[in-house]
Amino acid sequence: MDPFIPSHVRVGPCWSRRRGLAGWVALAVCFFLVLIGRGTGAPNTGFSEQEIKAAWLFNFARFVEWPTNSFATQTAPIVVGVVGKDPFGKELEKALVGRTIRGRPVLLKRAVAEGDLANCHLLFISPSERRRLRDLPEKLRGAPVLTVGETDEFLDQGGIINFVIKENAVRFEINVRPAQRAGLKLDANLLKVAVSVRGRYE
Amino acid sequence: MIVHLKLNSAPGARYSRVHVETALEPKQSSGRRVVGCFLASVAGLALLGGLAFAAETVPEADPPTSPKRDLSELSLEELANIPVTSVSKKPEKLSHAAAAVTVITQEDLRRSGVTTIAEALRLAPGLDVARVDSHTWAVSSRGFNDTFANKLQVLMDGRSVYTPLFSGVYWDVQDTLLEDIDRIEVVRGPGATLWGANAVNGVINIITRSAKETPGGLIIGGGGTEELGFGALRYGGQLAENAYYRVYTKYFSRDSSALPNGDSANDRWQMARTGFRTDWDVTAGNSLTFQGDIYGGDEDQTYFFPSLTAPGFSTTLASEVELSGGNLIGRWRHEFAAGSDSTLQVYYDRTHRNAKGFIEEERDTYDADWEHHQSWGDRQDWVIGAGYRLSVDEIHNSFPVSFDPRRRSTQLFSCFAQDNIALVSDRLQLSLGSKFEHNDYTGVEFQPGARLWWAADEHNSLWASVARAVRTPSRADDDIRLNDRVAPGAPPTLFSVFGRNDFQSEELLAYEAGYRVQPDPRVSFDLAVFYNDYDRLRTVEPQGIAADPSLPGTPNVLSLYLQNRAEGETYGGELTAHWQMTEWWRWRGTYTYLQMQLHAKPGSTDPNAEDDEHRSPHHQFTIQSSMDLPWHLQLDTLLRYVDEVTDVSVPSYLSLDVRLGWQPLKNLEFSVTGQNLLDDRHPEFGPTVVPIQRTEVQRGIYGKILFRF
Repeated sequence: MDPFIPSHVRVGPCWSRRRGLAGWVALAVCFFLVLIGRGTGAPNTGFSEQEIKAAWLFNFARFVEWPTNSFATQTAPIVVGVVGKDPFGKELEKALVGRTIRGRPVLLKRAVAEGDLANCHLLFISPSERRRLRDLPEKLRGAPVLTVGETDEFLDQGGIINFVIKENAVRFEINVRPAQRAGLKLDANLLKVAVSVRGRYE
Repeated sequence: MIVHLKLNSAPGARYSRVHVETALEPKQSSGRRVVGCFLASVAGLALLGGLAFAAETVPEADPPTSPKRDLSELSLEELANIPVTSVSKKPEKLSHAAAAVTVITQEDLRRSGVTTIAEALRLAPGLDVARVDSHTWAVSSRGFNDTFANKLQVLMDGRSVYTPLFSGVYWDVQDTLLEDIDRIEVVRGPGATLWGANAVNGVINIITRSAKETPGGLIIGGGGTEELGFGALRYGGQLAENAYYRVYTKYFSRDSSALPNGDSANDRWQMARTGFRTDWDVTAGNSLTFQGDIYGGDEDQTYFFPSLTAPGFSTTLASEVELSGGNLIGRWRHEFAAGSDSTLQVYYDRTHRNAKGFIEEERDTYDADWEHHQSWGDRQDWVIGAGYRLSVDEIHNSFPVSFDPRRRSTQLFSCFAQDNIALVSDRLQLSLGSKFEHNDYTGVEFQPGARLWWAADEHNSLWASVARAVRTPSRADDDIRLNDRVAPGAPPTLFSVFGRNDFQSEELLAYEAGYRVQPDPRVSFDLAVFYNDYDRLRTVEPQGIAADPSLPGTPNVLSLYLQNRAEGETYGGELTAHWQMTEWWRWRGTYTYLQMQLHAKPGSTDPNAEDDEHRSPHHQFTIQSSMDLPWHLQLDTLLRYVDEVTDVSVPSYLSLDVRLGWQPLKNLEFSVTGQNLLDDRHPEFGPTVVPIQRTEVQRGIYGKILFRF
């Protein structure tokens, strides 16, 4: 820049600085009012996080095979349980109730009692209970229960599937070893869409 | 069945030694920038016009609300790619860190519109970031700010970037493609137990994304009044199964700042940089990362140096500084089993800085670090490590500043161990550890720390810590001769500051405590307070006066020696508040308080021993608002107050940055950012040790376009 021209004198821009700023402020204020006038922010279309998660739970049940001895009969239901505060609201009913998977109906159980945990096939462990229930996957170790959570440490604590939000989509990570100990067979397609897979089948 | 294992490691997990939890970041293709000041004048109208248009045509990306598709009919792949529209912004989880930690995420960087790493640090409380001129910053944590601030450890992807020359950071050469940064972790207070010497008042840890997370192309372009022009190009892809790469290149040119009278300060700055990163999950449990950058650039700077010639005994030097350098990092991570993993990292770094007529520094750094993490039983988690660093330099001397010897190699050996003990699982955690270092100047240094974290319940947690840290001598403390000024006379008297090899480490004993509370899922507070007790702080002691016939005109030379004859206490605190007011409007506020009481110790005759007290603001606050508006618009504002800094004659100031971003398509973003909008110009810092020209920061507006392909 030419040292002899004071830096606040600008050659080029077609607006004087001072007037420009006032104009900008006025413009910004108008603009802001227009936006506020429009009311709510991001338009609410498409699917909520909970809806998508509920759909995933259904798909987990579809793409995981439990040992046959975990069912009393040929048509015994697949039991999906929720421990802790249920974050899904009605979405879980919508996604699961009335469905059948491989000829088995899906049974939804909320507020599963401690003694009943091992009787679930798929257990969603709510983050609300992360402290109290942190030893839970460990307690269920070996029982044919697919544990699903959504906290950072869930896999470290022995959980099998953990929800994560990635690029604005609901994804999940899988921990293979505890699944194997539980005698669960995870479909390759499920592993393929996982964000990350920890461990491997041996 | 064969499952290829992808290591479940967050990018930079290795060097993130503080356990930090951040809220989920709703990732969107980031971007902005438009060309030149043309847009600055037209953008507002254009945007409004564009919006009116967009308002009618927009829902291109959004499926109509009424006949929703049934999610159960989707394939797994489809389900995995369904965007979440109403992300229930996760309540920010209370961090388990027993330290004052702030994380600046990629989203924060993008939405603030900052263009440099130094400026990004303004988003963290407890730091004092002052722009000295167009390309120079003074950055410190919890006091002692200076252009040559020396109590901060700064790492980029595990590479230490502070220079052993004066233990400070040349912020002008610390850069990368900002869009590739995953997060910047800012730890206030000592982190020496893990990070070693210089992590006295804080640690700044800049972590870039894995190449796996940056696929595809990215083009950025823009410019404005202060940011004259910038552009960047990045491309990422897959080399083989489980092997990913990216390459980038960027360039920017910045306008000069202003002199106090409004004239140009002639300190324009331009840089070009290019780099790459590859991440390869070789086998189950083994991953390799290679990355590197090279850069070059130049900047102008004006100095007022002392001179031995009458009548002024001073010369004005309008100098050009040539900057170049590069680095290459290799990192191997091996997982033995769950809870047991090792990382080996080696790097080479070269910097060359030639401030013509003042100082030229060439430096090669070779570093190797090993770190092992091991869970032990249910309750204990060990981290141990060892490192070696060799730094080889060559200085080209001038009259104002010279080093003796001119070439020097220094070595640093270190090892550390830390045990995190869960006394009550997820409730009460104790961590104990220490770092041991051997440096060439003071020998062995021992830096232990103890930290305790307690969660009263899910919404309240407290922590406290005691730690010792040292700031080991820099090359300057040992070897410098700085001809500081000349008192006119016949003969004149030259004030020369000499480094001394009996200079000791500066020492800190720090007491900290913090409280985090989340009274409501939408609201959280994070408070940290500290009391720092320093000893052996640097002083400049007048030693004696003697005629020096080796210099022209046989001036009298007043020798001043660098010694450790000051002590002091600092105390203060930082408060951060988050408020998710609505789904689309988020607030964040920070307040920083600092008091410094420094004292010359008996035996000291340094009249300036307490100057540092007045080089950092007592109060700072920020208020930040982030809005997600209709029509794919985002509006972000940052209001910032900084109290007066008397020693460098900087009055208090209030500044406002505003960014408006518009993302009409998923892969296209326009933005306009206004910086320092509240005044034409204001000073943020002044010259201290090196007599540079005093300059002021000007208002700036720039536009940016970002396109992904």
